[in-house]
Amino acid sequence: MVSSRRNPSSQDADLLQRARRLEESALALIFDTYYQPLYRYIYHHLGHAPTAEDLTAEVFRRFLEALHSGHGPDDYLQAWLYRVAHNLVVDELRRRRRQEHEALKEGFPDSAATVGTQVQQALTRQAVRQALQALSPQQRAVLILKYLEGMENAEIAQALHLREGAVRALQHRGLRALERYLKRHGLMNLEDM
Amino acid sequence: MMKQKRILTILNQLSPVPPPNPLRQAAARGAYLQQAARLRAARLTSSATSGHPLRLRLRPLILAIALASLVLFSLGGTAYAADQARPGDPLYPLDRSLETFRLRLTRNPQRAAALRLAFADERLDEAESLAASGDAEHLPLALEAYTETILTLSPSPAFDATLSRQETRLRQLWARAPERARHGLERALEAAEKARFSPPSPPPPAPTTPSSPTPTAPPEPRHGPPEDRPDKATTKTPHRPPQAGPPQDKGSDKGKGND
Repeated sequence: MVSSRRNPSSQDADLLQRARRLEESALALIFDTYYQPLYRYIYHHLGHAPTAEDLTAEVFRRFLEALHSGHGPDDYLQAWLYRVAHNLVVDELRRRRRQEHEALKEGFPDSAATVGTQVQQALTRQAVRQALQALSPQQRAVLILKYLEGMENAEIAQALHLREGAVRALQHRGLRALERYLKRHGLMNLEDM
Repeated sequence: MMKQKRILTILNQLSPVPPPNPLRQAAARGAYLQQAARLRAARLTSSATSGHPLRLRLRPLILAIALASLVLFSLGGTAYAADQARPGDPLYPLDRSLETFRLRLTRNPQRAAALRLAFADERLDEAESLAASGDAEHLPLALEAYTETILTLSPSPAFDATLSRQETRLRQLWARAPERARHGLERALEAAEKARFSPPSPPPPAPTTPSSPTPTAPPEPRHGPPEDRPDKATTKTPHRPPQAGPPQDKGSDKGKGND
């Protein structure tokens, strides 16, 4: 979680200033700080680790290009990075719809779980992800950033270029839509799985 | 509230995210820092070839100056071409307009008068050129333009020599001008003579005899009394009386002008 960086501090400003000069130490620090949060955010959308890794790397590639061309973030580095990640996710989802299929094939070690449990967990995650896919891209992004990444509404507003009121509305409508979807598909008991 | 809590619990099923492949993460980091190094090098090269950042900021200004110079150079070329134009040429109106513009820009009356005299000279050049090329249609226009220019001239002793030369040129033009240009020549000669501060000195004796004026002879200089020329009435030196007859008669008038 990166919610501790809600407001740009003078330290952030200094870091960004050095990054604009393409200083290696500053760029390395930014990568190390934001790689995993961005990866998680993308993964929550796509449910596919290799794609999430590729897109995370793409975020940083674009970040460098933006710095080189004199663009890039003005103050809010985190918001800028998440915005790029979000755009990449939206593009990816438009281009391909195979993440659910791939998600079933992936998995990660859970020594305490039996093979049957692992399969069940994968199915559960697939069902929840499908439910998320039923939402609008902005509703989905708000719910992921809010409930899975733990970001504050202000940070989400910056990242998605929205007002905080709009973030709250999207959050409310997203939860309602998710509830309807889960009910319609008999998935309200997923938590028990 | 319970429902929302339940939904959030369901949503948290997604919380466990498999960590990124450390090798791929390291590769991505390496590629990212390499890309940064390339961009740094490109930036250094760019600044070395482009010079100081100030020069980069001035580049649009330099471009604008170059463009303005090009436009001015083109306009200068056009103005020069217009200056060579004769009546009937497409650029002739531009030539006259530029002259008017120059006159308007000139605040000093003496400079303005000198300009008018120079423009009158130009009209004569055009008239001679038209006569040489046998352009009887446009020759009267050039002569008319000369007359108009001379009529606006304020007399000055400094202009008399030039006016005298112009009269000589007009008389020479008379010999080869077509019939339809004669009236214009007469008016031009009259205007040149009237514009003089001092009366003209008599021209050299003509080769023909006074008793046999030819039909092609130009009009005599005609000088009215000072009251006819209010602009010179107070400063004018004594005038010769009006005379008639061809320039050949001028020899016999020698000495009368300053009576």
